Amino acid sequence: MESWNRRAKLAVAVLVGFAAIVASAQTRKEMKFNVGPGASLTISNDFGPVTVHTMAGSQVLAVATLHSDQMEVDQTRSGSRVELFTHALQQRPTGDAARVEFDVTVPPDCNVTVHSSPGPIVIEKVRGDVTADGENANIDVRDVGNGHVHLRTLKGNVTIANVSNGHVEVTSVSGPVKMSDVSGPSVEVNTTNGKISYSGMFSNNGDYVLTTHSGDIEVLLPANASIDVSARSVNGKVENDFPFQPKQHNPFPVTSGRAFAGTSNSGSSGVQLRSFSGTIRVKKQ
Amino acid sequence: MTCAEFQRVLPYIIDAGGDAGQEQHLRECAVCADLVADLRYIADQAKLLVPMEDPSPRVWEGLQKSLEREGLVKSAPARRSLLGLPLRDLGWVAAGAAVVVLLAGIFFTRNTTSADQPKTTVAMESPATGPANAEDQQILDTVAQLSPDVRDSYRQGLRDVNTYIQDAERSVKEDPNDQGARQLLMQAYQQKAMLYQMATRSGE
Amino acid sequence: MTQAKKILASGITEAEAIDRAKGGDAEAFEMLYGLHKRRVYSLCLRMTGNTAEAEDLTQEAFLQLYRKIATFRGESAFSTWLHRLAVNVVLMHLRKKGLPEISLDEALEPAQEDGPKKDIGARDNVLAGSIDRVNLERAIESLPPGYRIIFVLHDIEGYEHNEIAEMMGCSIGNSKSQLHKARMKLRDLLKVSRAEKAAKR
Repeated sequence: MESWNRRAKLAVAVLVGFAAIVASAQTRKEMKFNVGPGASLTISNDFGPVTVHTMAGSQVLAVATLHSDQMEVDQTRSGSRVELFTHALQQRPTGDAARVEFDVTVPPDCNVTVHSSPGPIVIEKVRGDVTADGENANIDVRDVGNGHVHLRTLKGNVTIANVSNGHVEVTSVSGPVKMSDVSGPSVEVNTTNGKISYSGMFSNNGDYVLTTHSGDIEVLLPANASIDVSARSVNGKVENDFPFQPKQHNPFPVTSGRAFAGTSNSGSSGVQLRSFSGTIRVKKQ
Repeated sequence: MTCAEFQRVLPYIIDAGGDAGQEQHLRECAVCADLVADLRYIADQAKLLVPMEDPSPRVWEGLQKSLEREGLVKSAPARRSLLGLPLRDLGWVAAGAAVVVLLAGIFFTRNTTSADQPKTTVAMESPATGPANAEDQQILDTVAQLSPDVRDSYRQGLRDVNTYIQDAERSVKEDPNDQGARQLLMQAYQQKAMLYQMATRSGE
Repeated sequence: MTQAKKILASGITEAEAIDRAKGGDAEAFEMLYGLHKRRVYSLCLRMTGNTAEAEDLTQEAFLQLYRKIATFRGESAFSTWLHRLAVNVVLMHLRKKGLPEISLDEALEPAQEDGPKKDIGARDNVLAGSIDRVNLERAIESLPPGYRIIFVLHDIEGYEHNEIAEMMGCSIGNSKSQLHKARMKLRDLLKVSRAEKAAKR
């Protein structure tokens, strides 16, 4: 029994020591920049996640956590334009040693651009323009308003919530795009086979164009939404259980099961749903 | 005169007016007066419905073909592109493809390998959609230096987007006047352009 | 700018374009098409309620125009001539589709459900001031085809009953009766639409 206790204590000591070694290899780098109104921040980090939130004030505060000393963060600054770029010092390390995480706070009116292949990318509460892309990055943008939102991914999951008065453009090959309460003068989503989901009012008298090749499009619509909608799937299905008023003038022949067009309430916003072979579903909330 | 009697003759007197008895009933009966007011209001509003929309361009295109076929006009037939689109309409297609072609050109001229990094060529698997073209192979060569999962994403993405383009091109060829098919083709090209742009950035 | 618009901008009149079109001038054809396409298309669309059909019929109407343009002598306004041609094209199309002709018998024995109201009932709020273009267009689109054709020809396009009777092969009385039924139906549709709107508030 005594030998077991000794072995257990030795094992714990080894584990604690190992954790300490790992922790000491991590470096936390803090970078502060005083900026003026309408500043812009660009982060290129193909080695890990990037999270951006806002705080009142005129400072960009970026905290980078580097998991090894084989990685480095470069910074360039020109007036109120700040760029942060992560790279390997020599050969790209493997595994966790290559990982770099960013946690950034910016003024609300800052324009934010983030590149991160693996992601995830999270951007919240920004009032400036938001651009984010990453081949496999999950991209999460929420509580953003009044700016342009451009998101691109190959297969990451894109989630956009509570975006108002925006020009939103999302391009994804196979990653799904999920939107809730997204409104603007213009919202355009284009996927090859990623599913597109929209839940909300399509408000703001905007133009909404959701297009996919073989993905599905699912729209959840409250009864008081005011839209002028046309939906068409060339080779797929179109299903609708929302009581639209039929339109007199249609942009294409309305074939049952393949297309429909109609208006609800005063038809303030224009909504186009297009798929080549996917299914388009419009449901009443 | 009763309302029933008045309403029986109403179709024949509403525009030109009725006889004394009918006019008197109209003055005295609020229900019939309201009815006549409504019907006249509808007719007046209808006169204000001005033509608001033009037919789609396909109508004129079809008309042109018929006029030429019947020898009613003397002009050369429109030249058509490989896609079956009139060349004058190809502008929008060219605009979308220009982005793709431009970025493809960038890849051709750039030296994407460095002495320190071994070049790994990732060949396209034999895709169900057809052989990969040289530009696609350049993309894959560029991202060959990236992590395996990113390389896979590009490989799969190119395959999916090429299918999209082929389906959309086929649709447009079947009906060049189908605006929806043309929009889908434009979106397909934009997907391809995105792949090139992202690969350019990642390959730097 | 297309060649046709250049011609227009340099002061070529419609009459000159018609003369040139008689000689096979393609640009003159295009000019005439541009001048009249909207009205012809609107007519076809309102009468058929279907975009694809309306486009086909617009194309057919202009094709017939160009085939017959040599016979246009200027006895009536060109637009009137073209318009009448378009109406005939649409009516012929609808007859081929099997649209029932207006029956003389209907005028003599109106159907019960379309007959005049015998119940006086309470007064409804009048429609005056409460119709907008969208609702009216929608209501017209919902009319049964026979009612819609008469309503479009008389109240929108301005044909007289004697002209409609000649085009439709019916009596003037029939034309008036069908128009009345169309307007009554529209009145009902518009009142329902107004009530639904009010209920949503």
